[in-house]
Amino acid sequence: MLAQNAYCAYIYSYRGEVEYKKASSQEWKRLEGAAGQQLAGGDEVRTKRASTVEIALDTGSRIRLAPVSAFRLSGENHEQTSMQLHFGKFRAWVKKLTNKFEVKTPTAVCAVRGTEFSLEVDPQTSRTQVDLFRGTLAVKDNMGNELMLQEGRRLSVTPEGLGVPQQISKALENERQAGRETLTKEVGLAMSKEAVLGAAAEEIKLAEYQQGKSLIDVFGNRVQLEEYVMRPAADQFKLVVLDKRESRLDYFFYKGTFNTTLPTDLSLALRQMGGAPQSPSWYLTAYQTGRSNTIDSVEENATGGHPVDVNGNLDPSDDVASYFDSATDLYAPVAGSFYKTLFDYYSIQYNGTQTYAWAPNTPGVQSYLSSDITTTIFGGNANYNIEPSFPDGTFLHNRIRETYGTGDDFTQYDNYIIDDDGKPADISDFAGITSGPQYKESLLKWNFQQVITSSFFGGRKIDLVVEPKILIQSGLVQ
Amino acid sequence: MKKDYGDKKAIMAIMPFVLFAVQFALFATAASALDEKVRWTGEGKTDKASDSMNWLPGKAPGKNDYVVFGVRSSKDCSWDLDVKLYYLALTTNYKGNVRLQTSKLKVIRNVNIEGGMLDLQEGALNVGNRIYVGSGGTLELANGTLRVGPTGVLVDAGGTLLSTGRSKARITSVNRNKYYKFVVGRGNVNLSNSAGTEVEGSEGMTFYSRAEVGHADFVNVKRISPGESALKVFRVKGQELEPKGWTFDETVDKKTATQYARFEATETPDLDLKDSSAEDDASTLVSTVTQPVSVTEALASTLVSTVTQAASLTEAPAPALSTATAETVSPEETPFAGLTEYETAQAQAEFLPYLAVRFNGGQHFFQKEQGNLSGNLNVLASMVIKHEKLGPKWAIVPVISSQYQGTKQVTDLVGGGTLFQERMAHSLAVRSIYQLSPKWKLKPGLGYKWEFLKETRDESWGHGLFDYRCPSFSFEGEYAYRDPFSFTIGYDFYNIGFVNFSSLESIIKDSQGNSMARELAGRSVLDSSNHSLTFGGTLQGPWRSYAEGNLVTTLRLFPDQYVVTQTGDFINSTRNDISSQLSLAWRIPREISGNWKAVAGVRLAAGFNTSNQNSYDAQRFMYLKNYYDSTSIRAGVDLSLNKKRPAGQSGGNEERPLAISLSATLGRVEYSGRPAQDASGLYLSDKIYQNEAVLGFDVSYHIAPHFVWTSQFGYGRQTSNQNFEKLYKYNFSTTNYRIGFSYEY
Repeated sequence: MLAQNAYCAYIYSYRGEVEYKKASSQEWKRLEGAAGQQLAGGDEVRTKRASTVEIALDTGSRIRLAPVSAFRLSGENHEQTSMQLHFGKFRAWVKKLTNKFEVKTPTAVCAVRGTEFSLEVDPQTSRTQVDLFRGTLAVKDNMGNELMLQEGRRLSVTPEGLGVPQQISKALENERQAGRETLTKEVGLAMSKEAVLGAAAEEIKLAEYQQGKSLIDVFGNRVQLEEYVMRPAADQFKLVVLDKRESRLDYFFYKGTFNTTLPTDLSLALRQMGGAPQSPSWYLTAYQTGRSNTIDSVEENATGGHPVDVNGNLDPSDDVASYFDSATDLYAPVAGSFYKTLFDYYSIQYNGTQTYAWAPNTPGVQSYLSSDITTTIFGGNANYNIEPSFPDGTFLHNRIRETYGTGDDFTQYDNYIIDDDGKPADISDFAGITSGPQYKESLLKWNFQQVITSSFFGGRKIDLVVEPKILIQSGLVQ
Repeated sequence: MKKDYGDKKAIMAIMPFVLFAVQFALFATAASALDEKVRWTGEGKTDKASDSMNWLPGKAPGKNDYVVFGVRSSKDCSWDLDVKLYYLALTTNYKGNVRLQTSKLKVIRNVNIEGGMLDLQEGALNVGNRIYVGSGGTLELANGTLRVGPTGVLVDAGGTLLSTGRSKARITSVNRNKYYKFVVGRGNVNLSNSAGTEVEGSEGMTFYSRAEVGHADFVNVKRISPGESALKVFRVKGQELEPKGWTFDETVDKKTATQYARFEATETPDLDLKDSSAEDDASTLVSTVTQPVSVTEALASTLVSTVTQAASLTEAPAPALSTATAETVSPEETPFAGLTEYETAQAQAEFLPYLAVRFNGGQHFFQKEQGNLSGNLNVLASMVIKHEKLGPKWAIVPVISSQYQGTKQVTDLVGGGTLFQERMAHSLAVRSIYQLSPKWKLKPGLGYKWEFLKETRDESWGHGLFDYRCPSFSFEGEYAYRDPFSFTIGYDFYNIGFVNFSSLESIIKDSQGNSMARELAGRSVLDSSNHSLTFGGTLQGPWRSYAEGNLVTTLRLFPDQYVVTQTGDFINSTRNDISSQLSLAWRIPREISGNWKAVAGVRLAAGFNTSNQNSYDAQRFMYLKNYYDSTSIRAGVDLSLNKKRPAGQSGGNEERPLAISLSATLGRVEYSGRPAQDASGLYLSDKIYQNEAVLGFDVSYHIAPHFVWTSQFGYGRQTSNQNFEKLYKYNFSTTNYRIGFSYEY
């Protein structure tokens, strides 16, 4: 029977949170102040996270308890020192004595003589790991099997019994290798997650490209494009085209007012917008267009719209031999009547300055002949000059320059037919045809760029790239 | 009586020797059979063995004689003959002492001591095969030397082995190249020679549970057979054995894992180990002499049966554990040279670093156009951090990654038509690992990613339209049901914010300063919050193959993107997508030849995306319902070949593997909400599909430790029924190559 009450050890040093419990008490007390707390057989000590304690035994041996560990000093006398490690880890320096130094864990008993070793117990599995640095040590499992451990060896003992000893250095290398494998695996998982995030972002970006909201022009510059339709009123629609390139933002809108409530499917109404062989169910009564760089603007307003059989009016120049069928993107021939919308009133303004307008001589005009409308031009009708040209040879670059009054005031439209990369089309791309149905059909495969400069813009310009379909459909491109 | 030789392997090893010896000894045994048994009568005037009067038939024992101390006389004998006997037996009827006075007594076969005592005194005895001490017999090593053959020393059935001399006693092997057995069954042992009992060249000493061990002290174990314990003791519970003063030479230190192993005897074997008595041996031999042809057979059968019996005895209860499996130890190793290393490993904090740097350059080709030569750089750094403040169950793994990509990959099938792209991504993730139990790990983690894109020449770093930031949180549980195979379940939350992207609609104002936006038009329409559930696992398959599978389901919410209606307006409901991806892979590793290893694999991935968002083609006034719905399937095969070049061939000390890999993937994506268009943009009745084919070819070679030369070649082709390509390319082919280096630590 070992002495339970006689002091046999003391706290040599500690750091962090260390608690002890006397054998006769149920209460754990935290070590405070200087070390030196004496321990007797039956006393227990435990450490919290990042805390250690060193205990000196009267026999001269010393143990150091690692963080998150708990042990019990069973007793010490001149014959035997014994203790119990419940869980955690301790390191021991045992003086070479004739007495027996014994440590018990849930799965093992170690008997040492003149040894430096460490002991670790897993609290969940009770697995005991013994590392022997110096001396000899006998390890026994719960079934009575015993093994003499060599210096520099590690031995694990589980509830199933003794393991196979291995060199500590090899065990450390195995641990490092296992650590490397864990690290490689976790790095791989982190990169996989990053790849998933990247793929999600890529998918979102891809959709923008597929919808044509983001383009790259021939110069390698970004073009951000948005087109949408609004319904300001039941009988109105408004198409907005927003174009952002480099540091400029330009927009175009077309707002149409119809004679009646528009259907949910706008295409039913709009396919007749450019005219139809029959009297249309839906026709524009007014429209408004706008082109702007958010500072300067060109606005058109037309009101008093009404359908007119242009093939039956007095103006032969507006006769229609074929019309654009938006359902097929092709031009269909016309024989007989063809109804287009004519507007009683029209005006165009540049930054609020009206440069051109007409009004009906009699409401309900049947043509745009001077007999039906009266035009008003900025600077006087007589001073108005319009000059179309193709300044770039065979490239499809059409320029229309209007001058007013003294000639100092002007507006100039540079219209380009460009491909998807922004390269201007050549006349040969249209087989030399620059007007008429064939031209317009071919035009659908290209893009329409319009650069508007004006003396009213203070040196700025409006630069728009749009698909031509709406322009053809609405009659804005003739 | 059964025989115990303790180790079946050794028995099987000596079996051919024995059978061969049978052939070899044919004439010898036949010849020896002709010699007489020489029996001790003790009727001489002296007690010397050289006194012929002490023997029947009246002559002192000579070469190859079969010598018996038996019933005729129990008078003590001083053996002073330097002679090579065939057999020496002290039978149960003999009660006297035979004291060795010579160091040159040799016995070709066995020495059986079943009565009386054989006292080596200061002499030496060579036994070609085995010395058996049984019944009432005693062998006293005294100060002498005993050399034994492979079958060694067997003490059983009440025999007694003593070593009580005052100067060193020795037991060693007759043949230095062979180790002998030393077994004590139901016998008595008293090894108390204070000058030491040297046991050299043995397979270790085995004391079975019935051994009565008075003392087993001061034994000096030398030159032990590799893999053996110096002393194996089978004890019944309650029995104690405390060997004292044992010493071991370097072979025990270095070549055995243990000096001493104790086992719980599960049953006490009845080790009837003695062979047939000397009398029986004699009768067998006598009978075979008259039938020369059958001598060999008879003798062979005796020997075989002996061996067989011995073999069967090894089936006797095995120890509860085979602990004494020694490991090979390099002779240079000192007992514990790694103490410093150990101290470091046990320090308050532990860091295990990882670093990988990959650099390469390459080009991207689209259709017939060629991009510029550009470079790519990847740096990945991480480490496992353990700190006592975290506790023993926690480990932290920060991961820092930086990438620069100047060359597009074939898998960057974005619109196809963009040759120019630079991409830079930086991420910081902190993963932690909590070892909940031996099989369960919990892994919470946080991360942040920045990605910068320069897709156009007018974009600068940090101002790319599609630059994004992505903070993330993850939580994963891993169950390692059989290391390294495991199941995982995880939850991820991440936010993708395109910091430079705003919808034009939300920012534009007309020339009068009025908004032109639709009602509910959002600004950060591409930003999303994502909730993802992941289930995955790895499995071991047949033929050493392994499989892995993964199912990821993501709920993607776009808080600033409202749903488009049939009229082109928005409704007060935001977009949300549900995306699921299932991927499966099966890989089979194989050794093709000594140097070549191959891993072949197949992959299958299926994806499904459903969204409440629609689209409106404003040019054609076309409402496209469920625009983002899609299904995809991809299947691929991989083959990687690794060739290991042994150290030295490549001029270095390490292995320098060459790795070649090939991959082929076919895929198809179908957009159930998007009708295809003709070249002019006219909508058709079919829905859009895309077919993809990607081929990859990689070669890498270790040119120095941690340093690998790498090269990748890729070809991709996409075809589609979508012919409207004004805004986006659907039909194209693309190629790229990259050549460079990687460093991994």
